[in-house]
Amino acid sequence: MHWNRRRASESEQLREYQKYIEALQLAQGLRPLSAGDVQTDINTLTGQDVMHLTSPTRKKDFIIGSKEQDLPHQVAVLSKALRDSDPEVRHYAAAMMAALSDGCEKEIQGLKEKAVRDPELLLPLIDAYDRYIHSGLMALAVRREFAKEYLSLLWEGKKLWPQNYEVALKLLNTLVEQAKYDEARQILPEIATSFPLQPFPLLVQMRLEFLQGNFKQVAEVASNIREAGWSVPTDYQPMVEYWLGEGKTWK
Amino acid sequence: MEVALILEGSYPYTTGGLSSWTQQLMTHLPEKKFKIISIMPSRSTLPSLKYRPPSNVTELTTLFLEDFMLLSPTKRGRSIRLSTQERLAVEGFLTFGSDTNWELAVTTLANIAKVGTSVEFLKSDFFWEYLLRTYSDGHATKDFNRHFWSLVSMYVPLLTLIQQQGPRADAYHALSTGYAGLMGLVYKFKYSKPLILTEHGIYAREREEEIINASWVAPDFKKIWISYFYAMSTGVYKSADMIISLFNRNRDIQLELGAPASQTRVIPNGVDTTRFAERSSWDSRQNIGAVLRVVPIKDVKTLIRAFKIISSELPGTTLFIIGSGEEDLAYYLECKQLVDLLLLTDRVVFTGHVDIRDYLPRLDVLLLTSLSEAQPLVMLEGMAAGLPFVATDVGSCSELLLGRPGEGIGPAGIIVPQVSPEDTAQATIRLLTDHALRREMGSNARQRVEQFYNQEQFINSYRQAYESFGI
Repeated sequence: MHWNRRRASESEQLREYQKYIEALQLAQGLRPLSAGDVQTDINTLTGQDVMHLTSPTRKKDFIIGSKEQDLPHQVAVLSKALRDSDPEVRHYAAAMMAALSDGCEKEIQGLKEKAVRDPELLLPLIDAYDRYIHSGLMALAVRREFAKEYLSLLWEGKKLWPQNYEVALKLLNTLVEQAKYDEARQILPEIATSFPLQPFPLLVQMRLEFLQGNFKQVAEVASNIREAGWSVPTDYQPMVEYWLGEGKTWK
Repeated sequence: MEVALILEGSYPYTTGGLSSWTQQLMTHLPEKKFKIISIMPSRSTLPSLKYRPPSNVTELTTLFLEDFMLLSPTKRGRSIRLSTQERLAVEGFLTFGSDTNWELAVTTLANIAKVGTSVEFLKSDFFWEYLLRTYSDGHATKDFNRHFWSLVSMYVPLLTLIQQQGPRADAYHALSTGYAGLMGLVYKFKYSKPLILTEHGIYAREREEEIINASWVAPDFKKIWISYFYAMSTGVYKSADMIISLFNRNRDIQLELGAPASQTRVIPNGVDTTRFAERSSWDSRQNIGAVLRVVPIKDVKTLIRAFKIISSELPGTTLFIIGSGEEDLAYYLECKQLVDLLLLTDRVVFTGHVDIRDYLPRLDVLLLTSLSEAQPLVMLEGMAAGLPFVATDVGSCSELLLGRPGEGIGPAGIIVPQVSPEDTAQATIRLLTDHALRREMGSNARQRVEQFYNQEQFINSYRQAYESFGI
């Protein structure tokens, strides 16, 4: 009973938390929480509950079991466990974190060696970089170096497979993430033309305009998206709505 | 009077903290005679000797876990006749029972005339019936074939080892639980001699972690393997006449795992401070060092990642990774690849196996990013040289650097969380840029080692321990 009540109140809190984050992110023009993120948060909270409330043995079991979970979620829980007061819990979390980083790096290294002979492997290599870079496992300075390599792979991928939508979108996103705005602008029209039925390039453009302080353009792109009649993924709808309404007043 | 030291996978064949400790102990107790019983995986993979045993070592015996390969089952389906007590003891042993009669179990299983060789025993009706029983009792949902081979591969090296002859001595001193401890137990019962156990890390915990991450153990059987290692440790804890740990936290774990409190004691490691000159001057160089074997448990990759952050902020720094990379060549290469990937090739020096005293005077700060440690000798040596440390909170590192309550000596370094390049880097940058702090911590380090972790205390404690058994 207690548990159910606790869970219920936790869900309410989560909903409130989600609203708060959405509002905050919309106000900052950032990507709103996706359904996936909310699920990750819920899972993370559950994992963090374990880290807060249970015995070292249960924490240890949870850490070991966390192998089955998705990477960013797993990293969030393990990061918490790394600061646990019990040295055993910290040890298991550290060993698991090191193993995860190792696994990612070995996968990248293995694919890199094979991709020299088989260019088809460039695509899984790009995916492997993407997963590692966005896993939360890397310190910023380290991430920068991996990100540089990732970007050069994406350029190579775009050259080899100009019609590959995922590669194009990852390239565009990465250029924006790495604040290479001019390069992003250069390839934006080409990507928008190559994939005329996809709203994502324009959603990235909204972010690009926002990051460069072109608030008027953000609203304009939102209105282009609406006029084109695209079905915008649910996660992004609040952002587009915001810039079609209230966002228009930003200067 | 002779003490037989029993080791698993280390002295005199591999370098590392435990091997250095063994050499130090024997060298500084010249009045005692030692025999070495070294347990290694196989004859074909036996490395060359890495240490020259001191002159008071009278015998080196190497036992091999894979020597069962040399046995051929002369009799299949051997019928084994055991008394009820013997049967109960052996079954208790095979099922990791908590109330196993260890003495009866190991003496029975060591008796080839009674149970046959290890291979014969595992092909006997007795073992077959035990296998069927355990399968139907709790594992019937699993593949029987895997059940069979899992248990056989678990017991065959163990039984082969138990049945091997070892040298006679006046006391047996196992330097871990596991196979070394089990052999200590066999000799204790066989020759009615005392068994001393010194545990540096906690063997069962270390194996547990390996099994969890091991790809060679099917997920369904991980629990059995973990129970197997815990049971071996418990048997040794319950039977040893003296159980020594290096620091209090490990003693607590030994107690949790069944060691009787009255048998336990703590003897910390110690170093000869006269071998390490205290730092007299500090110049503007910014050399960072890490003394380690390049193996995953030392988490060298976090060290390299941390150095990436340090070198971005302090471009004049160099990282010396001091120690051998031979033990795990694949990992060593991965570390070098990471150095290249992070564009640190000119800033990171892998020295290989060297005398650390040649390097310590060049260094300003030492780092230790290990995932697990006991009481690292390299930390005591670095501290004896007056160097401050940035270290992860593992084993007794925190006690070594921050001291024990009421000790009256200030911190000798900064403790950081494991696998955290960012925290490691920031603590290192703090020490490299604050000369007064570095000097003060370095001086505290030297003082703490001189006072609490000196070689004389360490050697005297072991002398007394041996003498308490009349050796």
